[in-house]
Amino acid sequence: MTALRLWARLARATGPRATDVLSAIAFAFATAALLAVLGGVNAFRMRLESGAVDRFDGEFVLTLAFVAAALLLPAVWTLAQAAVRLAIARRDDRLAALRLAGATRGQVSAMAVLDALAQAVVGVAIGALLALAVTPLIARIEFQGMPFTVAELLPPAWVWLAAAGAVLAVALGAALASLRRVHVTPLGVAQRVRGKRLSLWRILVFVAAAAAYVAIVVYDVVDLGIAFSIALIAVFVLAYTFLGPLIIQGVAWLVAKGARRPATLLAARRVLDDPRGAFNIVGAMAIAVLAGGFASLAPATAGGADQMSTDMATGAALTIAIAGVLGAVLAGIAQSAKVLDQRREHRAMHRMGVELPVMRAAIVRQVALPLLVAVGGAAAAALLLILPTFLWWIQTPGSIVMWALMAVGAVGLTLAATACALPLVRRVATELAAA
Amino acid sequence: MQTNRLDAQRLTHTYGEGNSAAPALADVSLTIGADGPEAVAIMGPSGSGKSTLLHVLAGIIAPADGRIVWRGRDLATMRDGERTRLRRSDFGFVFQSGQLLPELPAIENVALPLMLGGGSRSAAEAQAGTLLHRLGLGGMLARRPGELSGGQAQRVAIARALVGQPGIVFADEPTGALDRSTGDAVMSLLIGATLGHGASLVVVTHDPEVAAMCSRVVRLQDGRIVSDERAAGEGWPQTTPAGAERPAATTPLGMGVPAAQAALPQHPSYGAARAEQRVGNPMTAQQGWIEASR
Repeated sequence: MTALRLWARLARATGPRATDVLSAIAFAFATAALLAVLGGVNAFRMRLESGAVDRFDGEFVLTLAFVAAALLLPAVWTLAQAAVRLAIARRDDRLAALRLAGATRGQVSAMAVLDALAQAVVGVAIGALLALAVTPLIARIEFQGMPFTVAELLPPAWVWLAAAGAVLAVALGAALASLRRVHVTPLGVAQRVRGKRLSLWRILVFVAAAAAYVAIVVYDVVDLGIAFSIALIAVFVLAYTFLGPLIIQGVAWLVAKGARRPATLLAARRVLDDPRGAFNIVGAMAIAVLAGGFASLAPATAGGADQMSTDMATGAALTIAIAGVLGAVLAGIAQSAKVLDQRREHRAMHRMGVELPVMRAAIVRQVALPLLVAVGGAAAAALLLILPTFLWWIQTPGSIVMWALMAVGAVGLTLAATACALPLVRRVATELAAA
Repeated sequence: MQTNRLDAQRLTHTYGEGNSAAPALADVSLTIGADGPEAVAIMGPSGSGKSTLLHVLAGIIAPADGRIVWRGRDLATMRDGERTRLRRSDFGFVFQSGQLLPELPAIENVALPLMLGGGSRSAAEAQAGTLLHRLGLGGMLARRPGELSGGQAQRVAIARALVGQPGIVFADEPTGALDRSTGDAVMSLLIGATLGHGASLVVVTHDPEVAAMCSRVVRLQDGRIVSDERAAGEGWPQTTPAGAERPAATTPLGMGVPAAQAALPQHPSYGAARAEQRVGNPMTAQQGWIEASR
């Protein structure tokens, strides 16, 4: 029997489950976010081509739109990865049983990939509808002195197809990567061991980027033009993504050493177990907050009257909003996947008398710790680097206040979304294998 | 003084409802620790209800009908939260695999129950460290479960089960994932340490050799007890009036309790004697195993 036929037969027999629904939702949000961002890029491109805006300004804003889209892509990738983990969650036992029954590794891998792709297809379809539904709302936002039109925000059909293909490709890639990490043997999956500690060279990368930014952009030691300055800010933001996991690892280590409560100890140890994974969940939001900090400075430097700087501040707020929604969905989905992944541990904890509130608190702190460290660190870094321009933005604080409120709102939304995973704790902790 | 006696009366439990209902326990009555600490093996074919009985006795699930009285309280009428707290404070658990938290090093895995009970972290880790040293794991305090062998991980699990000084330790196929010699050594340690601590051991197993190491074997068939045999007269203490109550001065492991140390070598049961042919009796085997592992 081919893997496809076997997969179809098993899919019919088991039907959709909660994890399938969550996985499809994750793919839907990833697709909708991608299409919304591409819609914005398309709108700026159309305005530029139609001559509705000044050519120089139009090209500059289009560049910024591409930068914003690039900032959000890691979040889309992580969200798709979480969706894949959900798609193949709880299937390891079934896959192991199939190996025992004689299925080859190739057949088992193909079935897992088909699971992920099936949910990705459903998610992409829902995401496309979601993107269409929110387009009229996005059209109300004013850029370049005028609101968007729905037509501007709808990219050509080939872009939609390419976006759908990209999400499916991400699903395929993430599924294959997940399967490479978890070799499904007839006896189940291998035990985990201590992960590799992150290297301190990440600090050097960040310090070098920060020093270059301060020397060139703040003190203007070398006059290299606005485009180079923006590129340098982008490098600085990327350098933060190298530093973020290391900071999270360091803080989690300190928290684990000093933890007095079991929930805090558990959360810190779990974060320490996979600081990169912890940063991936909150990274997009941290980057958006960092980049938004710089962008929010624009109206202040221009005295608040310049259209371009207003657009930059609006774009920053919008990027933080999209990153916040993506981050919130990601946190909810990723924590749900983790609860399902750790069902044996939760069941063992329940048996030995760990109360459900302790397990739930550990889940929330597992997100709160990297969230506050990464986003708080990003906000602090942004404030520190724009500090030399303090006198500018203190006179026109509107965009800075908006930036701060957006950041706080995104953090709150993410913590609220994490709560979606909490009902699962009772379910997995109290389920028992048949005697 | 609190007695470590568990009385289960007319337990009934069913999985599913209506036509799909499958009876797992039918009118099961059982007393554990009536005459002092004992090691009870629960045996039976697959689906006979042995794991369900363990889960009901330990308060993990509530029975459909019947009573389980522990220290004057009926577990069957307790709320889920109350049973959870009781499991943490009064019982210990050792399972086949997956019961240790993979992110925590051995010492934190063992200290966790004490921290959950409100103990300070430093005191909990000090107690956990002492216990792990006694079990021959002094050099592995910082290792995580994934970095331990199966036998070492089970020793950590035994330490975690005993660190809270439980009245009963429940074990579900504790040697199921181990090879024969390691399994025997773990079982000897589990029995010796638990009884030495003044607690009873209830172990679900399908392995006759594991059951033979226990002082009592309860057999289930289709949810009913079909036999309840004790190792009469050959060694395991039939009546231990002083031991029926929790010893006043137990160390975390009970290794230093003179009564416990004296009782087991003086009363080698047929099961323990058989086990001794392979690895020594539960107490001496434990010491030898610890020495060998150093």
